[in-house]
Amino acid sequence: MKMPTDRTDDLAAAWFARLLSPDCSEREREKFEQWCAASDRHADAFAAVAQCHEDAGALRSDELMRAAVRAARNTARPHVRPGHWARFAAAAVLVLAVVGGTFWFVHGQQVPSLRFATAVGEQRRVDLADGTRVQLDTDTSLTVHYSDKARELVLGNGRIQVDVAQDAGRPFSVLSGRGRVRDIGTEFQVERYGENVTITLLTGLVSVELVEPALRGETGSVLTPGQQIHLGAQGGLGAVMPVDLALLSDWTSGTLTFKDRRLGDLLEEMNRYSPMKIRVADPALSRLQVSGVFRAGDQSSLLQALQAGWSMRSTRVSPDEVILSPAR
Amino acid sequence: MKREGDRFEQFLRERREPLLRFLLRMRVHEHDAQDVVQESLARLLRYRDSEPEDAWQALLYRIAINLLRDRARHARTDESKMMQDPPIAMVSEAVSPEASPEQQASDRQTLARLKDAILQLPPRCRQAYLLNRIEGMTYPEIARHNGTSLKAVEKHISRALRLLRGQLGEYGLASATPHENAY
Repeated sequence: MKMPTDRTDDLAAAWFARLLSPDCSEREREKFEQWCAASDRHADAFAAVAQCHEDAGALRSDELMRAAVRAARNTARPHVRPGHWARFAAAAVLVLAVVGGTFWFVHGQQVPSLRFATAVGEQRRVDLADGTRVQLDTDTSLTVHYSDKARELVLGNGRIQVDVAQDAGRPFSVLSGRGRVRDIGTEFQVERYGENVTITLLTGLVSVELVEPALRGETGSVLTPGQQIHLGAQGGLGAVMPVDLALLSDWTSGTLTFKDRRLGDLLEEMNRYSPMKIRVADPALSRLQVSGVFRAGDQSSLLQALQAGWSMRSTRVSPDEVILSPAR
Repeated sequence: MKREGDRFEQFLRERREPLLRFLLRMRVHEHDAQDVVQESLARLLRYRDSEPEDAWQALLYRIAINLLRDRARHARTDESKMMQDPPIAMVSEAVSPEASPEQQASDRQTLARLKDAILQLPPRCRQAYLLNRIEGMTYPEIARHNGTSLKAVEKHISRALRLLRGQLGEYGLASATPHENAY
């Protein structure tokens, strides 16, 4: 039931936000009232925004919302937090883009390769020369090879989200493990941990195939938005699975949202962002279903939430390892 | 809590006249307008503890607008039924004691959608909105917490509301309008 908002809805939202401000003057209220009285449509749009805001108040005791607030409280001044997503650090990224000594052959042409890497707990965005944007997650290594005829990215490890710039003359693809993703004007994610590769499509269309010539063609799959495919060290491509697009891009802003996920999965994901690893004492604990929203790398907030919300006890066994156990 | 109560009563006293002017501006007959003022302020009482002070003014406008809509609706129904009652007799609105199971189910669905929509907001926007609406922080508190200006906070809230409206389309808690017993 998505509805494009028009100018009136936008103004209604702006007026509502203004009225909430303690510095809203009597004169401004006066102007708002004039706007409201000018048309029924204005008054209705305002009432609808107000209703939406009031309804949101009913979520105050919701567990997932409480967790999201805890994350939000820790997100103060994101632009000055060191190690945070380098949104404004385009120039700095250029410095890190080392022109490698190695060369790569794309369509028989020798091209220089650019390498990008992030440390554990670090994320950054890279703007490539053609306008393609790549977001690198924690502990990721990526090599970029651009020639006159083709654009090729190689993901060595970690996770990227790619927003591909259109260039009909130069096809775009990402190689990872045994898989190759061919892009047809899109935004997608590729994840590689060891030999396990996952490809997820956000918008547009991509085809995925195995690199081995013997298997190519017969095992190719096409993904549509909201679909994901896995491939491992052996065998063909996995089945195409649906995913929750809403939560998928969270990591690109440094936030991780978990909705009814196994604690084991949640810890694995959070541990990728921090040198301090959290583990469970008892495998039964990792099957616990949990929900929450956390800052990537903020292990102490996670521990606090687990202690308070799920009554667990944490024991620091070494400088970089914490063990969780059920509280006595 | 006494102090809070005083502030609320002070707010009611101060806003009575301006609200009347607003209603006249909305082309309500003066003598109907008095009723709507009375009813609006009475309804606002229900939110005295659940809504923060900074939200009272906007809430009061919303309540008044909804009351005007209800009156217009009732007036139309009356005409079609050829009833003789003057519109003024329709003011007293029964507040439904309990939401029906259908309403409750539809409310749960609406809240679930609203929750998803909030989680999908762009990061800065979501952060400000969560702190304001879920955590109950005022603009100045959020501005201090984030090290930004009041204006920046307002921009995030405004954008959040715009996006939420766009995501949710025509909607509302089945039991919230027009009976206002959502909480």
